[in-house]
Amino acid sequence: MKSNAYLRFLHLSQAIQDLPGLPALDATEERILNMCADAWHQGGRVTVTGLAKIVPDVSERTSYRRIKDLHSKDMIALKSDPDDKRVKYIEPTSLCEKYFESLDRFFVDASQAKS
Amino acid sequence: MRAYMQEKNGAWNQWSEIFSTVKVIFLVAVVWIFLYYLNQSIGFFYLNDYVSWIFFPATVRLLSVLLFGGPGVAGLFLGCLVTTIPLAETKVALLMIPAISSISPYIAVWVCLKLMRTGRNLQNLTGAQLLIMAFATASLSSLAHSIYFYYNGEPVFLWRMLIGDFIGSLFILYMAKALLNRYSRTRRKLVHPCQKGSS
Repeated sequence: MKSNAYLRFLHLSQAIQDLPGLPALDATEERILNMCADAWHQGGRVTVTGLAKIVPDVSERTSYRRIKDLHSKDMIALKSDPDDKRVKYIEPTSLCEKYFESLDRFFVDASQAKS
Repeated sequence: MRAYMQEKNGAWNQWSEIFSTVKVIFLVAVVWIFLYYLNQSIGFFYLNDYVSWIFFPATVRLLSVLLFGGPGVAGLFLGCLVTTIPLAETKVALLMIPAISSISPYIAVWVCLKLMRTGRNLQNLTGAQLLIMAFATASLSSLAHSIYFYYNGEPVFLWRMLIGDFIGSLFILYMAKALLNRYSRTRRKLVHPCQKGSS
C-alpha cells in the first residue's frame, strides 16, 4: 500500500500525545485524584468501591471507569486486601507523587510571584 | 469515447498529484520562513545568523520529513533558500546551507525509521521514538552544518547548535502535545452526554 500523508499525520499526532511527561487528566479524574490525596494526607486508605460511590455528581459506573483510566495512566496503583481479596485499595504511584509535587511547586511559585 | 475519458481522468489525476506536491512544498517553505523570522525576532535566543539557543524551525525539519518525505525535503530547501539569501556571501553557500538543512533531517529520519521499524505510515511510532528522532535530526543537522562552517573558515558552534535545535524541537512538540490533549478533553466532554443518554 502506498504511504498516506493523512495516516502519517494521525499516527504522528498520537505519538506526540504519547510523548513522555505527566499524563493529561480530565476534570473527573482530577477530582477523584484530589479526593484520594485528601484521604492519603489524613492517613486513611481508600477503597475502589468506597470511592466510586462518593464522587459527587458522577455515577458509580463513570467513577469506576475513571479509576481504571487513572490506573492505566499509572497515576494510581491497586492493591488487594490480604484478608479479603475482593477489596482493592487505591495507592499513589511515584508519578502521582510527582504530579502533586509539581502542583505544590506551582502554588508556591505563584504565591511568591504575587507577594 | 470511454478510452478518451479514461485518458482525460488519468491526466487530471496526474495534474492534481503534481498540484498537491507543489502545495506541500510551498506550505513547508512558508512554515519554515515564518518560524525562522519569529525565532530571529526574539533577540534573547539569538547567537549568530545561523545559530540560536532555541531554534523553533528545527521542528519543521523533523515533522515535514516524517509527514511528506521528498516534497517535505524540497519545501525545506526552498524555505531555507529564502532565509539564507540575505546571509550567504557566496553562491556555493547559498546552495550548500539549504541543501544541508534539508537533506540531513531526511537521512536522520530515514535511518531512525529503518532501525525502529515504525511502519510505512508511522503506525508503530511512539512518543519516546519521536524524541529520539528529534535528537538524531538535531545532531546530524548541527554536525553537517559545523563541518561545512569549519571547512569554510567560519565560526563553529556545534554544541550550541545541537542544543538549540533539540530544545526548539522539544518546545514545539510539547506545545503540540498540550494542544492535542486540550482538544481531546473538549472532545470527551462533547461525547460524554451522548454516551450517558445512549446507555
